[in-house]
Amino acid sequence: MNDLYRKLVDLYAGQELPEELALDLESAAATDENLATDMATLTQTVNLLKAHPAPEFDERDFLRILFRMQTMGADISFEEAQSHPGQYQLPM
Amino acid sequence: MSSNPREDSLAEKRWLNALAKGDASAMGELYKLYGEKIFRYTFRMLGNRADAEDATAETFLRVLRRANDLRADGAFKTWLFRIARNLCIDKMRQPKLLEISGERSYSGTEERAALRVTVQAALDELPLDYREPLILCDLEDISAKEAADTLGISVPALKSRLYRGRRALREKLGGSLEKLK
Repeated sequence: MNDLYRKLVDLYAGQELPEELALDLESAAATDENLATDMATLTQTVNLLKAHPAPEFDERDFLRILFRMQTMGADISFEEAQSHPGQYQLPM
Repeated sequence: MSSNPREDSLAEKRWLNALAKGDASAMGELYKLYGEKIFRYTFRMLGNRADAEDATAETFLRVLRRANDLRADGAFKTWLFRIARNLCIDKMRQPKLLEISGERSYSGTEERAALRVTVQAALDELPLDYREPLILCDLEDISAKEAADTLGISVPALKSRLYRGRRALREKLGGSLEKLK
């Protein structure tokens, strides 16, 4: 596989190729096993990355970092009292 | 953080202007807007929750310290990521007294969870020059321009590293990709 194909496959895997060119490349891959494998495995790799789950971040994480900042001396408040995620709601 | 980038951009402008005027609530609102993104990025860079929390807190503290220099010119997000990145690199250079590993856990079927562990292990083995573009562009879905600005390189250089990184990751995944067929 030459350099041009390699560059095209990079763009193809990242879905950066215009549709017409992507179709041309798929046609070329039908008769070129190396090209077909390169396209399939690189696309799989990108798809796996894009589907890789983000680390969890919930309210406890939000508050823990907020408290860290506050203990380091930061004066951090929020626009409205209700929007402060850690605020204790007084019973009526 | 809303799911609407335009709303986020307007909110960012509003809070940056408020922060420059000394509004105490502005920092909290900017933290609400970007806290999770910065945490996710630092966690992906550092691989453990405690260091990621430290780096996230320090990132916002640095913003607070430079509140008077801030401009609502649309470059805040990139600047924020650049601060976070520098802090991560500093942390990576520090000798570790205790290596904390295995903090990442994945849900789903056993097979899927195993695959995710394999992907993470392969990512962790990549050189930083390759890993960073993958984290920013493929995992965090940040635009090539913003990622390039964060790393302080040109867009073509970013793309070159991104494409090489994907190929390097594919090599490391080798057998696992075969099993997916």
